[in-house]
Amino acid sequence: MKKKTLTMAYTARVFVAVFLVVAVAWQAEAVITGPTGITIKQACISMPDGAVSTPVGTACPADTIKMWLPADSTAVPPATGLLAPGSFVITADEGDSLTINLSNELAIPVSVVIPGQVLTPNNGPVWFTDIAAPYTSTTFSGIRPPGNVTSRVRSFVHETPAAGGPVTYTWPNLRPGTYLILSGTHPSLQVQMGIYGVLIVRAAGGVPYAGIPAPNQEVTLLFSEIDPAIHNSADDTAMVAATPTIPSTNVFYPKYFLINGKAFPGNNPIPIGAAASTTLLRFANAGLDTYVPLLQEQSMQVIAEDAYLKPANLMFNRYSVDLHAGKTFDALLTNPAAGYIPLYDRRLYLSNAAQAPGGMLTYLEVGGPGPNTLTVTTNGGSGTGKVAAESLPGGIYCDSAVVGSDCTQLYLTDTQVKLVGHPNPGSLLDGWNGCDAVTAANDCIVTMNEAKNVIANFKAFNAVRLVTPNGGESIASGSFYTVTWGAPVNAVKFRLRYSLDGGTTWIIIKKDITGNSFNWAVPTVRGNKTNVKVQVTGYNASGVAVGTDVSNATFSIDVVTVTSPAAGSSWSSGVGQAFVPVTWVANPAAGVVKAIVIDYSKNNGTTWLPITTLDNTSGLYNTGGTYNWQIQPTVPSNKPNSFVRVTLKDAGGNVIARDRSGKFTITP
Amino acid sequence: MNNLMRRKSLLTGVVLLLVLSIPPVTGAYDIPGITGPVFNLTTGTGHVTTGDGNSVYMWMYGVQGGIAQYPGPTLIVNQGDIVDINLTNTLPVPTSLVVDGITVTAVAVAGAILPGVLTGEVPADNGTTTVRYRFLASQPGTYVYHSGTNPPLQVEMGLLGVIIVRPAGFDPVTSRFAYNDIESGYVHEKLFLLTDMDIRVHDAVQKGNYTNIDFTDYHDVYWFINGRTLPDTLSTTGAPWLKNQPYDAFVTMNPGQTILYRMVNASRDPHPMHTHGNHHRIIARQGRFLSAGAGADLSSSAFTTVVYPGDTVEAIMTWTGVGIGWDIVGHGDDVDNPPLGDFPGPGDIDNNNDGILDTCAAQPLEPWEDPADHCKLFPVKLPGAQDLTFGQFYGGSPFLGALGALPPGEGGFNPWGGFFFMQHSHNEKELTNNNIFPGGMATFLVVISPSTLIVQ
Repeated sequence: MKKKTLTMAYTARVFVAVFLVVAVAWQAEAVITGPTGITIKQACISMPDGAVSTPVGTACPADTIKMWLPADSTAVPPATGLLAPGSFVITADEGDSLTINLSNELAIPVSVVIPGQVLTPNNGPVWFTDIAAPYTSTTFSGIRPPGNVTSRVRSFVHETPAAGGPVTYTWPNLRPGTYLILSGTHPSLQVQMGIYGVLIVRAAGGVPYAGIPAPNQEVTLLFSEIDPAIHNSADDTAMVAATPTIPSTNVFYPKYFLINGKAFPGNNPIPIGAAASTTLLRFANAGLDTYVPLLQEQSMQVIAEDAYLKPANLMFNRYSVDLHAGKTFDALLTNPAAGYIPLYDRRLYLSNAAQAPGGMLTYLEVGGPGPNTLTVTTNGGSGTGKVAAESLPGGIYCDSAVVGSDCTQLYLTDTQVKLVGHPNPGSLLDGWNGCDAVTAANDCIVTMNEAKNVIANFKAFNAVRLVTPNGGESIASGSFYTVTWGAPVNAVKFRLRYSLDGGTTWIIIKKDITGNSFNWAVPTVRGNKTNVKVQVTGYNASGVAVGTDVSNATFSIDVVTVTSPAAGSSWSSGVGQAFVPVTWVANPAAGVVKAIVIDYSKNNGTTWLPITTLDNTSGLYNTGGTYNWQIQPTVPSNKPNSFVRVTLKDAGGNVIARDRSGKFTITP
Repeated sequence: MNNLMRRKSLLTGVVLLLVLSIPPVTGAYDIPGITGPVFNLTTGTGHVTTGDGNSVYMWMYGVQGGIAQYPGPTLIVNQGDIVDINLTNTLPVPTSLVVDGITVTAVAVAGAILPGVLTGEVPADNGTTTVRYRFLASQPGTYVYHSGTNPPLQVEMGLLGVIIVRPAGFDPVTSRFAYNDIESGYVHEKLFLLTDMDIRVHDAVQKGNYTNIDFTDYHDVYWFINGRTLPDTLSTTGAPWLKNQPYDAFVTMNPGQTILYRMVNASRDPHPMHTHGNHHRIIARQGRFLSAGAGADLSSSAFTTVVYPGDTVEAIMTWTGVGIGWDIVGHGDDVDNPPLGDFPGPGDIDNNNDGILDTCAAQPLEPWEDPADHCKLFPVKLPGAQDLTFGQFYGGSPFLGALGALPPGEGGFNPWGGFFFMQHSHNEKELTNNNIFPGGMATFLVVISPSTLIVQ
């Protein structure tokens, strides 16, 4: 059994050279891969794409979240060594001796443990004596002295001190399997803050476990979550202050849910090789809660749990695993035909805070990467924003203003992609170029059967402007209508009002609205209202109004709309002639419709002749109807100024609403 | 309460109208549902009732032309069927359908399909588009179907249901099996579909706000079995006062009969399902029979099984009273068969003072009875009625099938003299309806004497 120990005794450049030489010399033998010289650093992460950056001073930029991340100690320059959650992976072989040399830039001590592997020597645990000052009170290591009943454990193992290291942690004689690498100090906070990674140990011969043939490919699926409130309030210097502030994960409301450090739609499909080949899925959960990864529509054979190989007759086929905190599972999948297999958390943590879709959703790509490139740009207009692919299999999270943004993806042929525009504050999505179709929700659909280019046009708003309804719309009474507006960046809250009298008096719809749209429950009215306007007012963070806008022209809220006969149509009169379909649509009204009176005019509405009265006691015509009218008597000459009128009346004979058709001609 | 009983020899046909309103039916019972293999479903809105009297706004699946229901219709198909679910949509948002654990293809058979995150979607076009979701039911078992569109919203709002695939060779009268194995056989079949609910989401959607809900702040306050909370879980299937919640969860059996429990979790939290009264034997999980080749040889027994989101478990439950330590029919204490509950009565004599009444040995064993307990006396002398408090499920007698005298107003929920066992989530806070106890994810199994006709 070989014992290989890699230490960081050399400078970075020398080490790299030695490593390369060592790798070449030992290429026939197994080598520990991955960074084993680690420094814990402050970092910032953005969601959902998991992009990692270094803080400016001690502060993370707005829209990013503070993390404590491992970094490769050998990186030059050092800032490039930060290891995003999910990218800290070490691989080794059964029987190897692994040493991690841990350094620390935080103001609090850290350590490292690998549950399931035996740290030898372990000079911990480290106890502290004053529960009010876990990081600054007296500490001691080893067994609790007799009679001491008040000290508590801070670290399971020996520590790397604040602003200190490197300290050596060695696991001799590794066992095969999938393992989590975690901070062993105050783990409820430090692991949550980002000090986690994965160790993969292969059995002799390079197989996952003895008796399991090597798969064609392997994928690691590391699950974790982020509670940004806890992260952004965690201040390591405040934790060692004279009166310390110690954050707690007891009140835990995670907002971001990650697979390999990213959330949908900030992630790309994961290639798993060709159809019919074998893939080993290594699941691990570094988070604080249980997740249930579910492999849609496929069965995987679960061969190991917590790095213990199951007996052959207990390797059940399942479509999901119960991935509790700290757990690992290994499962074999026989790849199906080429395509994308969704893999998602069946506990449905599938949003990024209040934004869906998002969260723990990814896709395994079989037979990829596909020949068709989709290229997206977001700078088609005066404003800015992001475009995300929000359908199977994701793969685009693009902001042309950001260097390195994910604006291209290769797709298998005939993949239909839905691109959704997300305007930045101060902008609104105006439209698209290059789509095969645009949906009613203004999303872009492209069918990837060749290379496609899509441009998203965002429009900048330097004033508050109502976009819809802006005039001319016909909105059904009692329906939901999406009011949309654009506003400059400083407008953060909005108030909507509507007017039934063209803007003289206003009725509140809602205030304290955030975002750029609102689903307005249009009131049920009595009679078609044709003089309606909407007003939007924007307020800044201090509650001061910074702009207001009103519909450019009036729109209508309709209770009844006559849709047939159509304007310009022509109908013959007399017995035996074709029936004219009088069709109307009715929406909820303020009032109970008891009867529908249908009449017509041949003289431009001056006088009206009866056609029929329909009884609506049963509610048969509540949503409208059609009456087939045979025009009698025959007219002597063409009547080109004819209308049909539908009137809804209540039990007392009063008019609730009425509408007339377009102008048509009655012929003899 | 009178000593009312039904005897096989006297089919009096008396129907007892009770709070529970169970209509009489005989014979083995099945999970209610609709058969395919072609189903025409749509989406709709409506309300469900919870045990605390609340009315919650829902988005639900239903058969086209029928009512929207929670859960969606249970779809029953046969192994080998090509199943088509044709879905239209009347919701204000696109929707879709996926099945946990089964490959489903989605094709528009009318209108235009939308690409979604898990599958093709039906746009919000009020029935114009029909998407056909097709799959091959190759494996028998129990499966969950649910919306694949914005699942945290749409599954929460009620778009979920169960698919049952019957094994090849299944016959509802002669071959009642869950899998192609004799050890998956059963007499009765019951579904426990477990769901939970955060009512704030439903309130927001009812007001038209379904775009800004933060699902990471999830806090459920209602828990359901088969779309109902306790005590509605005990009302009949198809109860007209629960028109959007057609399925019940009340379990009845005679001792020794086997029940196939299909435990399914269609929503977000794991639930530990506890079958109080006896172990159940888990014979399958996630649509796979637990066998290494010799029957259910990889099955295991438990009295609590955690059912995870998306999980399905088949378990065989039975109850015999074995090991209870006394003769549950009361052979020892009361020679009348079945017991009249009037011990000591004129026929009850122990002549040789051996603790067993002379006539007991002559009484035959019930087929399911434990011979070790036959004729063993009830181990305690029951205190007088004035020294006891009574639960509503007490029939007045500790013996199976017997009723006893109760003070006025006591008892009342046990007209058969059966033994009630709560079948429930053992996550105890889930036994509430929005903070009101009792309620939630609970129902009852009642073991009824064979001389009483089963009612389901």
